[in-house]
Amino acid sequence: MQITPRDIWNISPHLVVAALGLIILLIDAIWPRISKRQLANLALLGLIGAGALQARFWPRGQVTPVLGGMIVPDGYTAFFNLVLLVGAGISLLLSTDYLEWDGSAHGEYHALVLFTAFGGMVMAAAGHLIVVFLGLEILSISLYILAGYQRERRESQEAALKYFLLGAFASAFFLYGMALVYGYAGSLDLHAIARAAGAGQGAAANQLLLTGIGLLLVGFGFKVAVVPFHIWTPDVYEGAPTSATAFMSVVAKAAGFAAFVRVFALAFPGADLRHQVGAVVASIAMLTMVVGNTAAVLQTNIKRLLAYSSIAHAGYILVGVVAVLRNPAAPAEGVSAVLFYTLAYTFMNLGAFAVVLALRRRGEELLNIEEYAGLGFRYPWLGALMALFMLSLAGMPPTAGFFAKLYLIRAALSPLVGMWWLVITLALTSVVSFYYYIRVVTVMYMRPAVEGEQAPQASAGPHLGTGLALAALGTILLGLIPAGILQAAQQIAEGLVELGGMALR
Amino acid sequence: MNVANLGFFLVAGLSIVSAGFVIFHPNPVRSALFLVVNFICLAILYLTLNAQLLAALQVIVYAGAIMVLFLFVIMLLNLGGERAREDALAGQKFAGGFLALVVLGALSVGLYQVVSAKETRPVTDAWRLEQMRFQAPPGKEGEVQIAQIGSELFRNYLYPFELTSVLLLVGLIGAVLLAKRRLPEQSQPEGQRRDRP
Amino acid sequence: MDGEEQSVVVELIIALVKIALVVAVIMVLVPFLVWGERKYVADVQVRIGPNRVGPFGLLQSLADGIKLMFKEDILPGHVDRVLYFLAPIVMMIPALCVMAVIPFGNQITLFGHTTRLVVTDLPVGILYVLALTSLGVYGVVLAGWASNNKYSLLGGLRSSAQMVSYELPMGLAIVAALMISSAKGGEMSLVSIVEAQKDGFWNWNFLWWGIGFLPFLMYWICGIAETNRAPFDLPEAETELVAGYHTEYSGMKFALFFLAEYANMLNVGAIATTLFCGGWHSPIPIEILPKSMGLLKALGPVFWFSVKVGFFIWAYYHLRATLPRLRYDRLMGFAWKGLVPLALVNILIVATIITLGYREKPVPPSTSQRPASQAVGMAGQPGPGGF
Repeated sequence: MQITPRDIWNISPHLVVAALGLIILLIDAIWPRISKRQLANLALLGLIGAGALQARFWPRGQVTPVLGGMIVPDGYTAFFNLVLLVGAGISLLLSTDYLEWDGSAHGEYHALVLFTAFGGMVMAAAGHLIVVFLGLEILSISLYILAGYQRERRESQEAALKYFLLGAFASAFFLYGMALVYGYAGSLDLHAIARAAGAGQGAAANQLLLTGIGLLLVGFGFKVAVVPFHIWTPDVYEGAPTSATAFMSVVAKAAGFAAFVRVFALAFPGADLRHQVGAVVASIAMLTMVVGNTAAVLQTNIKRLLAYSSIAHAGYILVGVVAVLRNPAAPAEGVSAVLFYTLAYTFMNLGAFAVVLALRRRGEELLNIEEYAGLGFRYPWLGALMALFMLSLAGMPPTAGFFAKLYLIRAALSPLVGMWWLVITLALTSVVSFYYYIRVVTVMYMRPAVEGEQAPQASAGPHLGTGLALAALGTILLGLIPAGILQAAQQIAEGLVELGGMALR
Repeated sequence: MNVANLGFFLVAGLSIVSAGFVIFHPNPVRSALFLVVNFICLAILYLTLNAQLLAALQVIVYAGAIMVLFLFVIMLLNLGGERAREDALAGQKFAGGFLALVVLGALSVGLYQVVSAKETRPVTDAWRLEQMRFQAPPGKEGEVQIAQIGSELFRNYLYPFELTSVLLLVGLIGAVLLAKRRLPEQSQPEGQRRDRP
Repeated sequence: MDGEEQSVVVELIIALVKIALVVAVIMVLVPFLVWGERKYVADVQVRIGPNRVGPFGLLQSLADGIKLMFKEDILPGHVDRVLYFLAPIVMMIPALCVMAVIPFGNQITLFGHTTRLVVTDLPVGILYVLALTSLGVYGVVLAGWASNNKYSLLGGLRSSAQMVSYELPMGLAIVAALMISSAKGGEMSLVSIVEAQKDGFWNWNFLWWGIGFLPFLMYWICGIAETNRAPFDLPEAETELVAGYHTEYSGMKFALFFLAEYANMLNVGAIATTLFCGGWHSPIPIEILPKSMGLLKALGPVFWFSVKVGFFIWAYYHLRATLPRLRYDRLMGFAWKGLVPLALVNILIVATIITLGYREKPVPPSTSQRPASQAVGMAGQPGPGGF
């Protein structure tokens, strides 16, 4: 294998993000007294630079895998790179104020955020299961550490330990799945697997492949938190520092689905196989939507509520995956719906967390939903934004969440998918979700505010304010003019599908 | 059954038995030692597959370094006593055992079908390609050479190889961040978040 | 019995003879090594040392050994019986097995069979050595644990930390040695490493480009630490830990620990000889003995090998006699802050020299001459251009 300059330029966003993490660690080590705000600014600058590089080397036309087939620098990769960069950037904006207030602002936090984003980008770009796995581990281990970042807090320790133990277990499943797939295909290269699976090896070997796919599904399912691999989610989301929760809720999900969709859309062709796998994914999706939404109804803590809501959203995105798997005629439609949803989810979920991060009461975080009473009048802007994000998460038009859900439904409604009950579940559970999202809004606007010392305080520095504004802007813009992004997503999805088809020929 | 087969079944059996003891032995020190036995059995299996480098690395890295640290920690925490583990959730043990059996059953059915089928190995282009890549020079009975592994690692698998270094770095940061003693000047500034209970 | 079967049997016999020879030599040597140490240390300290049993007290260790063998085998009541019993065995086996891959001489022809003076020449020989030495630590750890005695446990804990820490720079030093060796056409098998250092002492690895002494010294220091010898003998520091991990041991079990320690010293000396000091090659490539003196000529390399190993054993004695024991934090700091970075820098330097100084690929050594014992071992053959 020859490494050409083109290869390096193609992975330059990765390299910039990873190098940035190292630089921040070094600066923090050399000047320990440096303001962590400056570190965050530097990280943001770097993220913007990485984004600019990605835009400059946006893949056009025929894409070939680079670095020995390990990395596929196609539009799909570029899209998710941008999603992850945006997610990491807004998360950094949100976290500086919080960390300063918490007294736990260390340079390592920013470095870990960057390494997490790097792991996610690697996952999205992977053309080889080894690379998927390594990206997954870089992402996961960084997140375990971030979950335990407030190490004096028992909840944070508990979150880190739970996340780590269960995550290690899930990684083991994933690895075993990889081994079985290797046993079937003789390679871990996605295209090689696709060729082996496309050629068909007889029923017996198929069993091996199916078992392998099942185990891979467990690994991915854990990472994106779908039922029944979701048990860790509420505890970890609650225990982790709130800024880290915001970050992991969007980045882990985006990266997980990026690799999930690529592996399942590319590596396992063959209508029968996809039909079977699609059925399994569909049942997981249904379970996830039902459990996530019903459990969210019972929550009183906003972080736990958002945790269950994130589970529910993973279920929605899985519907898109089902559409990819079970629609051989136009898998691109499902892919583009997933792409759009991931982007919309990144904005609206980060926005919701931004509001949570801005609120305090008597030196503590404001996490109990009941305590949001009267917030809409006390802080009209914050209240309005929270209402916007809640409505978007619920899927009200004309917000990003509405169109995201619409495209998912459209992709899944195709007669070829043949899963009308899945769409009905999606619609019904969305109705359930309205209950708990709207409840937050009602508490904010329909309950009398608490005055005096018990009153909630809001503090939004310039960083948090910018993050909040960006998230709101994304949520609104995606809702008002979704066509442009959707068109881009469709092109990208077609590119991905085409690449998969080419590998088979 | 020839001698090589007999050896395989002996070692494989031993590895399974020792793996079982790792889980079921009540004494953590013994469990760790059975894990060492398991690693050594795996190393021997690698040897029978002519993967000598892998066998040596398995022993050096896992049995020789990682498990020693395991034992170190177990001894330091003094977990050695034969304690009956208190089960907060007694039902969990059975549920877990049952699920483990289900998974075992599913896997063995799948593997049995593969083994019992006429085509013992999927022969595809991809597979052949991979075989060719790893093929030893002619006349050397398919032994994987150290130099080959090295050149694979630093040519085709260069990017994953570099990724592992990032992975290790992240682990390192985590260890320092979570375990380092807080230095006095790094303690929390006054007037920020309230002291936690 | 057809021809092929017969040759297999002959090779099996040859291999067994060699194994027996190596084990027997180690076992017989150890009492004399102990005697030598006592005498040497006594000499340095202006004492007389053992002088009652046999001429110059030569049989003193033998007498001690016999005493230990017939002593009551005490099993303390509070120990973990199985592990207490296993620990000395676990300590002894790797110590004996390491010798299997070390070439202690060139070829020898006896009764019409030509064979190399090495039990088996594994293609990954040096890794085999590393693997076994890394297992040796279990003996110490288990002994410390099973004794159920706080001094023993402390000794076991110390040694596990110490041995794991020093294994790392040792491995890195060996990597440097392998790189040097590969620049001369050697591979990972110890026989090929020795062959790459033929034709005079200026070809020995520790003199390579004036930088070879660095990995050599590092290996030697780590070797001392791995064998728990002075000045790194903290696991059995008698002033603080009674006798460390073997406090509770007596009789033959104690003797096994003793045997293993000296066998490990021999191993470290032999590996240092093989990797850095030309193995069995004589320092000056001059044929002294005529070809006709076949057997004696074949023993020449064995002589040189023994002389070199003997030098290292002497160095062990001398270090023990002259150096005080390190403090524990210094010991660990020395490994992690001193040796590991140095070893990494050293690898960088060696790699730079190889890249700049060896443009052409070295000619791979001939693989035609392989020891007959190969059929017994599970080894295949390393291909051209190995490591």
